[in-house]
Amino acid sequence: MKWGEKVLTCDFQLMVLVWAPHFLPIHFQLNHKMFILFVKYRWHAVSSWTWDAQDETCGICRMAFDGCCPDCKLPGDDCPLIWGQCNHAFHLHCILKWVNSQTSQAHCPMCRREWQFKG
Amino acid sequence: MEEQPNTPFFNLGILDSLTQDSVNQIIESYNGFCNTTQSLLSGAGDLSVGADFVSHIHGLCKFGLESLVRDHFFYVLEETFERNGASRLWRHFDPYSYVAASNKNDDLDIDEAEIQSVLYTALEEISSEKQYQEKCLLMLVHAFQSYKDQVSGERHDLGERNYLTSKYQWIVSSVLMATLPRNFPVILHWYFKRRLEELSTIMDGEFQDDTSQNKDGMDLDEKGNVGKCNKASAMDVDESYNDNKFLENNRIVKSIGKVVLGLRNLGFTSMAEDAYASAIFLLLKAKVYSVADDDFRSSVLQSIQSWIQAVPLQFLHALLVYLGDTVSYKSTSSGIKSPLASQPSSSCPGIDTPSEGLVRWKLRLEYFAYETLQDLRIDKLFEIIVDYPESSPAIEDLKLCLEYTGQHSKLVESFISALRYRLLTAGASTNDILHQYVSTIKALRTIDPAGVFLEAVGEPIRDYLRGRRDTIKCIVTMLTDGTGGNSSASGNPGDSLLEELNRDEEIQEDAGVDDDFNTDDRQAWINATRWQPDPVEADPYKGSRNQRKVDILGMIVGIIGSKDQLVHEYRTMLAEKLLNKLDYDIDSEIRTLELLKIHFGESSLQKCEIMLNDLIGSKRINTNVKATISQSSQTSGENAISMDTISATIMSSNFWPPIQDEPLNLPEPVDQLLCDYAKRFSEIKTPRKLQWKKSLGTVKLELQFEDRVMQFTVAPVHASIIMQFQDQISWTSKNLAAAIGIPVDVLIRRINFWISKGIIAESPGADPCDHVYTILENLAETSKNGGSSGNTQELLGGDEEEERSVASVEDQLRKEMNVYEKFILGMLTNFGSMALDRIHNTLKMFCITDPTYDKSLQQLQSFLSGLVSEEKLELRDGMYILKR
Repeated sequence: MKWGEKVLTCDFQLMVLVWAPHFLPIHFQLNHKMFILFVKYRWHAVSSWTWDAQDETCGICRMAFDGCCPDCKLPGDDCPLIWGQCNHAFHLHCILKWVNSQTSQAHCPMCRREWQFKG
Repeated sequence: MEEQPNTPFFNLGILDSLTQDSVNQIIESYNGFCNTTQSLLSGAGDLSVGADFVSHIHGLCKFGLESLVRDHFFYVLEETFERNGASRLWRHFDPYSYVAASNKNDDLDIDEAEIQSVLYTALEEISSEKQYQEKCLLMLVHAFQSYKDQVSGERHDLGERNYLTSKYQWIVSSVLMATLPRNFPVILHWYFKRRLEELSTIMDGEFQDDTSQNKDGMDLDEKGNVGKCNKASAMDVDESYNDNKFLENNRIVKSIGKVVLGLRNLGFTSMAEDAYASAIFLLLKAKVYSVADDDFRSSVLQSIQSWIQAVPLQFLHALLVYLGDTVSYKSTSSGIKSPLASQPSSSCPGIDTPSEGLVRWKLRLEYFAYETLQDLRIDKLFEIIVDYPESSPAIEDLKLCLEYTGQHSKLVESFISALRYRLLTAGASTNDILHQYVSTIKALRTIDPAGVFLEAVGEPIRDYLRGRRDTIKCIVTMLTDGTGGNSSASGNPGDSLLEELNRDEEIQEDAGVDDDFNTDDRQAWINATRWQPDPVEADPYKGSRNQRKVDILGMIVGIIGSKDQLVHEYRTMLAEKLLNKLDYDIDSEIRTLELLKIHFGESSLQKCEIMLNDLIGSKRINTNVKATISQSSQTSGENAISMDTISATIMSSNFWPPIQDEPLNLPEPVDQLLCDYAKRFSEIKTPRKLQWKKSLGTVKLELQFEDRVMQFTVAPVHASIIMQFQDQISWTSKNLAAAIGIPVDVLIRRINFWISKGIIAESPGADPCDHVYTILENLAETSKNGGSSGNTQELLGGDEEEERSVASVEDQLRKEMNVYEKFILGMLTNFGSMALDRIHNTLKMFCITDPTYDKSLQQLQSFLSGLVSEEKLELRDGMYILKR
């Protein structure tokens, strides 16, 4: 992706005409000239993602939600969070392990309510 | 009676039997004998008294006085020889007495022909003298024999004669030795040297004809060469020229042989041999120096070896033949063969069966040549290693030499001192030192695959590098940066290490096979037969050969101490690099990471892999987000187009090194776009959301003025600043800082970038601490303000250390160590003063619960020195105390 071509095609330019005599130095006022500065840009920003959960760490594995469960290598899509009806979030893999280890109906490890996956 | 004690058996009974008559007879014969002996020996060639001499001897022998005769004769003989022979001989060399004081190796200012003639005449004279005396000796012998014949009719007894002649030889050489003037060996030495030089120039000519290789460096003796060339040019026909050369050769060999023979006659065999041997060695040394000097790009061993065979060996052969020593040892010659000459029979061209003496000479010469070359190369080893890949022939030579001479320890010592003197100094950049270290490892690996000497040589370098702060950074740069990012004058060391990573891959695979326990017995047997003991110099405490496998990366990591530190540094650098990327092109990073994973293990590089994965994911999300936005928001077309100017790196912040994020107000449109982007992201990836690190990233700008267009690649802060000037031409620093949302001092620092580019001008405002910044209208004003302007400026806004987006390893360490500060301060309050070791141990002992103290001594030290510079502590005589 070449930036030059891209910019030429998308003419989004912010063209700002400034006319503010009281701010200008004297010679601007004398000339009564418009000053124009175009800025074209291509902005590469940096961000970090985070799970929109109330808690920081998974109640089961005590690892950060933004990290991954002990069995996973990659965070994010590969190790997602899951919410129960009780609004408690866990790593999907952690809670699945928990649920499967329960002989009878599983309960939320945090609040002991019956565990139901939130729709 | 003086002769009585000399009677053979001290048989006193004989005395009784002596009559007056016989005593008279004895005295008479003895006097006669003395006189005739005197006149015989001192008289020049006058043998007329021979008959008297014999009869007197017979007279004395009759009374059993042979031993008296013999002793007296030798006494007189010795006296005469000393007077006539020796002193006259040395007198020839008196004019050269000044020579003795001068150095052996100096070129003496004596005419060669003159010295030769002097030598000849002297030797001739003495040998004629000797011959004459031998003749006299023979007369004595004959007299004895004729007496014996008369008495008993005994046959000739050769034993008697041999005994007498050898005794004579012995007398001659002892007299000469005793009177030897100091200048004689020097003269002799010089003479041989000159002769040999002459010879070698001739031989060199032949040698050159024969081999036609290595043309330069052959003219050992310029003067001699010129003379020969003149002579040669006179020769029209090549044949005759060759013949002439051959004759010349012969002549020289003969003249030398003559001198040697003459000296041998006098019992100076060893002195003569010494003289010509040292002359040959000198010649050889000069030859080696001229061939091998300072050129490391070609192997010289072969040419030296063939030169040895062509010149000195030919000469020795001729000489030995001339001296008549040559005894063909067809069977034994194969027994003692040079370890380097593969076929001893063909090793001496023109000599069918090398005699034992010749083979010995060959071995001596080769050893000497190897040693000389080795010393030469060891002296220059530093330079050789500096341009290592090109100088590998020299290394190969050195290897062969060392195999032959076995003087590895010399190499180690000399190289280490060279390193200390030339490399491990404050002036050398860490990059250069590392580069040299890598070259050293590679070069020494050739010489010594077991790595024993490398261990010794590498030690000082490693120790030194450990003391440098930027070592890790340089190593990581070298490891990861194929292009050698840090500009260093000496080539691009980065390449070499990346290469090494590649090469190492193969080794690792091999090693995997080796370590496999399922290798069959045959393989095990093969391994066993290949086993070789460690070299004697090996340090037994440093593990055996197998563990000491030479592994460049291992040795490099060994400098740092642990691979964790290296990985940590690598992660920081990788983060820095990734965050500054405008596109998502990370192919080279992936490659490097894969290689590193092979070497350092997957688990330790897990975080780095996630970082790269984030980049790949970001690319996907980026396209995704843009596609959905353009789909959904058909209505606001402008927005969709704008979205194309935005791209984002989305990181999993837990796995990245700590990021330094500063608050920043982005320009309104950009902020809007980022908001949209984030919204879209959370729509796509519910329930995840984005948190922008606004001060991070990269912005490509194109500033369009009335009369020019300029391009920049800058940090977001700079972009925010310049974009504020779109709305307003002039800003005061306070207002601008408020608009952008950064402190005034930061703004002043950042805006310097634009001022230096000549785009913004600074002028004092109404308030003294408030500056006014104005955008410059056109080029004329720009040049007036002395700004440098260019149409295309590829500059990443931040070149200062503090503008790094990722916290440096030191900063991270400092943050981690801050926890321990109160521990340390408390400790010092209690104990007064503590040494570094003790603080370290105490921390280790007591800080076992969260956070566990796991820092190294060095890390603690650097932290403490930080505290010292903050004036919280004081360091006195190695003890830390609280500053009050």
